[in-house]
Amino acid sequence: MSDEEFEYTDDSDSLYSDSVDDDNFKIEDSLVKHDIVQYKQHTTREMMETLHKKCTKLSEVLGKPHDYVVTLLQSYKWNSEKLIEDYMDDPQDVELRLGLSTVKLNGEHHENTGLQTYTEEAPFSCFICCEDKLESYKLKCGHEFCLDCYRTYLNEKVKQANVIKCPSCDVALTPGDIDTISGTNGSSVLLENSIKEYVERHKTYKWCPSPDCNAIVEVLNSSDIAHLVDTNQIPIVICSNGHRFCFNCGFESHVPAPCNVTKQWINKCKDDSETVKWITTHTKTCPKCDTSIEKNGGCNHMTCRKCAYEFCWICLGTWDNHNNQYYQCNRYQYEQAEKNNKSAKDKKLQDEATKKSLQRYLHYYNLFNIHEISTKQDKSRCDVVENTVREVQEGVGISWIEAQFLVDSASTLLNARRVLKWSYAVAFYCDRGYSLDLFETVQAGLADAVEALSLLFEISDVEVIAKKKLNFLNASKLLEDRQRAMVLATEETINNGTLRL
Amino acid sequence: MARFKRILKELDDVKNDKEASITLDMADNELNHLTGTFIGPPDTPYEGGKFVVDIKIPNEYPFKPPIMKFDTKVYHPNISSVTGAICLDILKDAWTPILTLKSSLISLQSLFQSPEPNDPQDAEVAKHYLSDREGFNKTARYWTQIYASDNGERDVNDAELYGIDQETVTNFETMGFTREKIIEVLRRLGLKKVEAGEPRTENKVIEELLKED
Ligand SMILES: [Zn+2]
Ligand SMILES: [Zn+2]
Ligand SMILES: [Zn+2]
Ligand SMILES: [Zn+2]
Repeated sequence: MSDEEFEYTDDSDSLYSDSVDDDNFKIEDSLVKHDIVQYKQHTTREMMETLHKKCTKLSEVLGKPHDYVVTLLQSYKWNSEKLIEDYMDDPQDVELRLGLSTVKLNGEHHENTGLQTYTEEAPFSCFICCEDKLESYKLKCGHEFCLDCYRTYLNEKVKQANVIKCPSCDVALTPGDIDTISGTNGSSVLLENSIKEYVERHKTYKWCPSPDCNAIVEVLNSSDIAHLVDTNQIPIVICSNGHRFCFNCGFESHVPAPCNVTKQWINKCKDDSETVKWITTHTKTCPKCDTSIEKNGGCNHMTCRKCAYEFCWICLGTWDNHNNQYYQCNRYQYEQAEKNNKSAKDKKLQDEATKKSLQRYLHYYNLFNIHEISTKQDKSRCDVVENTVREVQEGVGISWIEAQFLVDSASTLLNARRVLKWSYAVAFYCDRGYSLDLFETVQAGLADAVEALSLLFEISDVEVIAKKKLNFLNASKLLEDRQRAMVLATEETINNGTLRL
Repeated sequence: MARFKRILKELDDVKNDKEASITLDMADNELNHLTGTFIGPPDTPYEGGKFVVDIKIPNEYPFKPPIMKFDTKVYHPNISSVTGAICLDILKDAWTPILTLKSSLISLQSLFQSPEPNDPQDAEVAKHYLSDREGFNKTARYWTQIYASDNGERDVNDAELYGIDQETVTNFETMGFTREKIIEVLRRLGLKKVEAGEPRTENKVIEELLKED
């Protein structure tokens, strides 16, 4: 395990630093070697600037205008090496092929290009809409259409292409043409399309996988990633919007599960999804009075509205058993499974093994899935936490700063629940033994702390929330400690060689 | 609506062109549903046929292509023999607003002259085209006769319709199977003909024929 820690700042160009300050210890970091993943965060805008810089450089090399080079590079899907090679070989051919030749194929020159205006007496008759118009646009190929039609044409094409060609021939529209016609900087949309392509083409870049996030992460030492993954270290990066994800998997942070565990687990869940569909249901009935109960928060400690019976959402057992001791639901009850299997004794041995393994899988899948659903519910609560902060501020009259504990607690809860969730995937692939017993004890502790903090978020009365600030802080602190312990325990279990993939 | 002006002009253009072997008319007095026809080109199995195309005009026309499909059944690698759906680049990605309904119909006409079996709409027909051109031509001609001719009212021969060898059908009929079943099984197995020297194929067919009962 590394002693070096990573200090994460929002604004610096390179996010990598060698800080070894213990106070800056970030959760998850004992497995995540930030000191080996060096990366930069990019926004789409920054990527755009990068591409523009590339164009400027190439425009100097080729001695051609910037606009011209943008179109060239877009046609070449930003593969500048290939472009330069082809261009050095036969510039004429490249120009003709890409519709960049300033000379029409028949050699005719069109001087008066660009925006054209006409009069009511002698309007322009547009071939596309068959109407008389006063404004048109003429490309260097001489093909001319009314401005309205051109605009509609661009809007249609811009969704699907990197380069837009004349409706009538192969001449490419330059960014200048596009901006004039669209009346805005419509060419930037094309550039955005290019960014997508650029990011997908280059292994050093990845889109943040978080839904609706357009941030990009660039890894500076991408050649090290393979080694990291081989040694069960997780190349976690954080996008400029604060989303943690694994650069190798292009998937949400799956700490503490190593990448190979993650991959296998995801595939297994996909393959077996039909078998376990029934588990994903959001509603269950109260084990005591059968009233249908919908889970609306992340907490697994349920209280039936009708009969006030307190039970655990996971095992539907009474909550009393969960509170005094560690959170029992983590542990796959082998004794229980053994008992269940005795009834199937007459069956073939193979059958029993299959059944047992399915049962075991269902157990972990169930836990994993419940926390996945809870994460979503926690997340939607986090999305409105700013509102809650405002309500608490206004309702109780405390400062914004003082109310920030809610935001911090919410993100602590989200991270910890994700770690807990992925620890079940690890457990599934581990051999039973002393090492796993320890692991599961720590896991139970984490689950306990997750539920405790989640429970605090169930409170809706702002005054009570403000009063319980200390509880929030303590629960968060405990949760962070236990999350760290979970990561360490996972590392130890894996180092003990109990992982079976 | 801008597109209506354009469609009216297109209708006019086709009407005024006396040379062209195509027609274009409104389907149910609506400008967004038209019917086009063209004559099968000479020296093709489609010669002498009149092919009817159903044309739906999307709201975004002419910036999006018209949606065309054959109402007349056609035996052609790029046209579905079941639904009449067409696989032609200009009706998809290669469409540009300077293309017209007339030019599209003309493109369909030339597609009849030069099929593109490597980009098929109907895989079975394309396979027939590539493996047995003569048999394909015969079947395509038969379809033209049956479906695309005014005097095509004679009894439909189902074997010929699917390009299935008559002798092969007769051979299985003598074994006591019904004609209907034989053609169904042969089509399902993608067979047009079973040679006398191919006992394995023959056995496979018999096996399938027996399975049905
Ligand atoms: Zn126009
Ligand atoms: Zn042009
Ligand atoms: Zn993000
Ligand atoms: Zn990963």
